[in-house]
Amino acid sequence: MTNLSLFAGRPPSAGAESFADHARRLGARPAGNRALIDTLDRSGLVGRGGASFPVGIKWKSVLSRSRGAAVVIANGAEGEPLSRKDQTLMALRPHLVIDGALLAAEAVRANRILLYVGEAHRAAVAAMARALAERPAADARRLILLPAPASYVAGEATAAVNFVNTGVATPTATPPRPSERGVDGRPTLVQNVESLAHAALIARNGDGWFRSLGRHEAAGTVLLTVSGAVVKPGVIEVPCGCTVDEVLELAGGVRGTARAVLLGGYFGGWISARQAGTMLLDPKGLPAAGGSLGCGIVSVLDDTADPLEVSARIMQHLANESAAQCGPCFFGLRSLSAATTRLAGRQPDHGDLPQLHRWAAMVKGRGACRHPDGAVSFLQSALSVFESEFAAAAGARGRKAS
Amino acid sequence: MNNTALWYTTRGAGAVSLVLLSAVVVLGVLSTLRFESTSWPRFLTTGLHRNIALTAVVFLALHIVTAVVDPFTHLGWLAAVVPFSSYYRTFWLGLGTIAFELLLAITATSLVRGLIGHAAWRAIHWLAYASWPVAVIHGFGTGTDTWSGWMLVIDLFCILAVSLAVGTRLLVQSPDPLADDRARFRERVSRKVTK
Amino acid sequence: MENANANDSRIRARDAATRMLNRITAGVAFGAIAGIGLVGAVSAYTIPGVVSSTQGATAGASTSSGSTSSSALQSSATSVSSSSGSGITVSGGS
Repeated sequence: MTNLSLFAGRPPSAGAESFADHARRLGARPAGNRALIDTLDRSGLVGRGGASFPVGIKWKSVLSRSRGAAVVIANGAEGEPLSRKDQTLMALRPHLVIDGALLAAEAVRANRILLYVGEAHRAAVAAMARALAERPAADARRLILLPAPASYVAGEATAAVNFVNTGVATPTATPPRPSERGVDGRPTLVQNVESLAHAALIARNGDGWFRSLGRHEAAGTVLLTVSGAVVKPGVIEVPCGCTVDEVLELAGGVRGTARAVLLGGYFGGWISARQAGTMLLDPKGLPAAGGSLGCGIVSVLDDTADPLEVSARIMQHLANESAAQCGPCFFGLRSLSAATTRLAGRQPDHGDLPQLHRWAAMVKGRGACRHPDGAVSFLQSALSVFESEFAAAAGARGRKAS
Repeated sequence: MNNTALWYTTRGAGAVSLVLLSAVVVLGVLSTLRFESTSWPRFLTTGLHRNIALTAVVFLALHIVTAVVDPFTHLGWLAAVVPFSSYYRTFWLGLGTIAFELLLAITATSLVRGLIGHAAWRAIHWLAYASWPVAVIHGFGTGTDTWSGWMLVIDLFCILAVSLAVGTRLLVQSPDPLADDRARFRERVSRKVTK
Repeated sequence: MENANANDSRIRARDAATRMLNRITAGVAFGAIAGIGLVGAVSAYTIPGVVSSTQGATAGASTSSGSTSSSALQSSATSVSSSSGSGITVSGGS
């Protein structure tokens, strides 16, 4: 694991960094205030939860509505099966996350902080609980540890707010956004734990320092979960703007020949290996190149795996994780996943493939939340990158695809 | 002669609009009941609801235009948009204006539902339950033919059809195909320990 | 194989329903136009106050329109209009 900034200090084998070590290594925590928000603006820090939204702007929008009673939710739910960066960060550097949450609360004038940690990530939950206990009373009084249900959509911002308000982690319709009306109707900042950790370091070291860590025009570092056909899968911290090839090298190289890379997780999409190699992993710049860093998943598919089977399994998971709040998502994803599974099994129905294209276009934008949109984007990336495999499967058994 | 033709057209279009709009309301209620059979899929109900609604708007426009340009009633265009602004049967005509404008809002929002979002669309659509009865009362109050037997029959038929549909809706639990799955999901993501 | 047939019949049923939708819509539109004519004719025939005693009332559309302002509540012989037609006057003003 590279030791750039978040994981500077003792190696992972040493476990969670204690408060004493944290204070000794980094010094006292600065205060959170309006100036910090401006610093974050200049630093170019964008959210690490998947949407890559500028952190400074988000804090500003909550502050503008805050009347001293705003709420901060540190989002460590991490419902994406392929992502492990948030749980790793919380398990090893809980105090960085807590620092960031406290800074955010002071900056947006919140009087309540919820640490929303995925209940299935037991090491992270334990480390955060212990870290809370190590904190002085003044800090600990404002912090509440809230285990999040282990479901895919539980980490969605409105689902987190809904969980606090009603005890059920289902996404709700926006408007109103959490920054306008969230927990108890108060302006709520929902921020990914990695983003908060970066903010905690920027508060100490300044925006210039953060920008200098990145490559080319990208700023700062990012946590990636590298998985799939690599020698050393795991969580690594890399400078923003480095290439996928460099990342794969850091992970010990690819086992076999890479066919495609899943970038961003189930909510991201496939990129062909040829295209991916030189792509710059910059959360801000990647969309222009046709990719999305999302929550930092880089998963390699080699040519011994069946891309259709992998895609079908992912679609199945996304369909099963539907909150069943609206027809287009529940029934749409179910049909899409069933058709994808049939194609993966090389036993498609007549018309499955063109129907995938058609239904996908119909489902997009029609859901009560954006879960179906993400699933459809993923599927469309699969249909595009694995076009020949899909066509071959559709033509299986001598049946024409259309 | 022109005047008479206009007048007959106004009345004819009014009666036809009433029948069409009643059908629209019935189809709308049937949509919420998710009625379907092997030969009658759900999109047929909603499709008819939409098509007949748009047809009704056309005939309603005819009804309004012929009424306004009829030199006999001296309505003026203002009466078509400002309720209770006509001298001719001020109150009953005003009701018609109100019903028309409610329908206009419903139609407009339905056409741009994608832009305004589902919640806003739904809120305005509820006004249908206000627009229809107001239109019926308008017809009773201002209609030349109200007490003609044939018109009474038409009125009765429309009122009966809508009442039946709404009554059924109130009594029958609309089958929600997602209810079970949604409950199961909520069970999964609910807080176990009460705080 | 059954899968293909099930899918085909579903598609066929959907196409049939779409055709029916279009047919009913067209029928309603034409029926409505015809309805205006019918209602116009019937109402001209049964209108309270029209100076007519024969089916000529239908042609009343082409006779003098003075009938519209007649206040004589002369019910035509075959009219079914209620005699308590005090509610509706033909002439303007309310």
